[in-house]
Amino acid sequence: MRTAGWGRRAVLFVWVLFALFPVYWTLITAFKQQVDIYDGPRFIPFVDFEPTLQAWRTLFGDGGGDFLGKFANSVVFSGVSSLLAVILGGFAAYGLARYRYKYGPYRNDDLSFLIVSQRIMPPIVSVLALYVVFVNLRLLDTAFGMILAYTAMNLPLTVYLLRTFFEAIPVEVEHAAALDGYPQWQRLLRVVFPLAAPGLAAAFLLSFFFAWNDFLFSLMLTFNDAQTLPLYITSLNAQSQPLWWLISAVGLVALVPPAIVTVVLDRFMARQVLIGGMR
Amino acid sequence: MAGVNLRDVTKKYGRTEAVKGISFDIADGEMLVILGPSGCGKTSTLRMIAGLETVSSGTISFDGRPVTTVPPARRNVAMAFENYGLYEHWTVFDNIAYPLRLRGLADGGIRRKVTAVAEQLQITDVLRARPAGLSGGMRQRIGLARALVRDPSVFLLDEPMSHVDADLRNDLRAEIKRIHLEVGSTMIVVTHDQLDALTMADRILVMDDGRIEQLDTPTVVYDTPATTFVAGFIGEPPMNLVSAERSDGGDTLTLDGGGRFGPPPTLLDAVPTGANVTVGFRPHRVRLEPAAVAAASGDLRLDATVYMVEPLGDRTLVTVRCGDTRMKVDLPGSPGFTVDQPVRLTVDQADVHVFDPAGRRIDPASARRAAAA
Repeated sequence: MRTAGWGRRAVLFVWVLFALFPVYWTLITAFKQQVDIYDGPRFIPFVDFEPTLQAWRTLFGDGGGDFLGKFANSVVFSGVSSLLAVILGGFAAYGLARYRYKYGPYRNDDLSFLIVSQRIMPPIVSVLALYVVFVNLRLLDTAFGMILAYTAMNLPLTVYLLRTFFEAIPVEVEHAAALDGYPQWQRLLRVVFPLAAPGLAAAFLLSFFFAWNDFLFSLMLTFNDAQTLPLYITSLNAQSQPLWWLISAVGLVALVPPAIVTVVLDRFMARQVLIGGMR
Repeated sequence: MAGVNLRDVTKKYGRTEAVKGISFDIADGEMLVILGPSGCGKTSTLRMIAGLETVSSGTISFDGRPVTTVPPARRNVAMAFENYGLYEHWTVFDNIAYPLRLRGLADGGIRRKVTAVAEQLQITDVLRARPAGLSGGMRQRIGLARALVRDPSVFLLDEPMSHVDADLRNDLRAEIKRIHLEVGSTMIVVTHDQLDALTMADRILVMDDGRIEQLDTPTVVYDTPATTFVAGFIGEPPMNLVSAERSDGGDTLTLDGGGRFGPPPTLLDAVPTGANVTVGFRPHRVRLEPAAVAAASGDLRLDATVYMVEPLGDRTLVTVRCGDTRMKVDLPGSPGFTVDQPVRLTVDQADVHVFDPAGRRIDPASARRAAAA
């Protein structure tokens, strides 16, 4: 940044303010009392208003309903479904990248499109059908059902993304591994997947975000036990007036897992895509 | 170490036949170069020997032991790839060491072997680096090192030089040849570059369209190409090929564009009258004179005009046009021809090759034998 001009710095500074302000606002709101929220804007803690832990006490105390339960639901559903989507999608994508399929008139590209097309439809279209299926299979409001739904939702994405990644890995690497004496299985686990690590990380991250932010599936397919954070936040809104201090506190907590996942996986993605033997 | 034998080996991809029933033998310790244009089946052949492709029909054996259905890992072959096939996520050392680790060698032994092979290929300095940042020549050396470290019985190289700069290419050629001398294992190199083949091979296998065109030593392949394809593929610039016809009962061949060639009687006997044969001669075997001063010497005579002159420093490449055919003439020095100048080409009998209508060489010797029978 030493070479950056003052003008550029100024622009960046303004942009940072712009980007961070909502987070700041959420942060201070989580420490406000009702009166500080509704009685005109208050910007600076200890100067404008006296911070209080009231929201946090409610959340982690008795008044928060089942906040921790919903939080755990969100973490488990998003994490497990993303993992499944990446593993299953990885195998599917590998197959599409390396083998030639022929099912009637369908070739690899058609199969790929078929899979991706699942995601072209707005979820609202499929969710009603999904609801009926879930009712009949007794999957409504179950963890298993939600993980299934999120995995299915994210699979098209991971297959699509990872196919390109696997295609970019020279097949010669696998041939070399075969000649070196790797069994097929190990070739995949020790050579191909590590080379596709940036892709796998990106696919996991995107899947995680989609599942984490999902509202519709949770709204339609759960009512209590398997409810997730986005729905819980809405329930705080459903009273006579929005409980902004609580909503802000939950919002802050909801930022943490995606942030952790991003920081952890960023390392894999930043490891400049090492693929492509050609130079 | 092992000799390699192929018998009627065929490779089909769906309906297309990439390799059409080829048979050949490679002696133990031999360096064979498979040469041909892209899509001629040379890489498929190499991969079948490696076991990376299944054989559609026919058998492959090492030292008489059939390996047609043996998986690649148990054939004890090593391969270096066109785009290196390195494990980019590991260090150079690990890349080379891995085949040994898989074989359960002790760490000390591995380190000794890797260091030795790294010294041989001059990559000791980069053993701790990852392949991604290294130059093409360096990466190919790592590929070679990884293949070499295992003491394979057969060593396969697939287009090892195609991504390497021209000057590095020469070095690498010499290095591969040197490695072959030192290691002494059977080596099969696939290339589309005729110079690679001429410089490195004990024998060259020329392939086209899934078939073997010729299999012989570089000298024989160069001096007596078996087919018009081989003649047109080997040599830089390649042999000039002109279609010709034996006029009724005459003792000369009439070339397209009006030239004449008087072949030796033994060869003439093998050329049927009226058949459309091909006459070939190497660019540097041609004498070129201005038409005005041309003497009537030489067994092949052809009148043409200069199309283009390209000086190459110590040589000059002259392209001449005769009717619709263009021919190259490679002359020493700078002979001072000008564009559109009428010229006469003359070639000695011994330097002229004649191919039958199917493109196969008509050999004076075999023609003589046929005549005697």
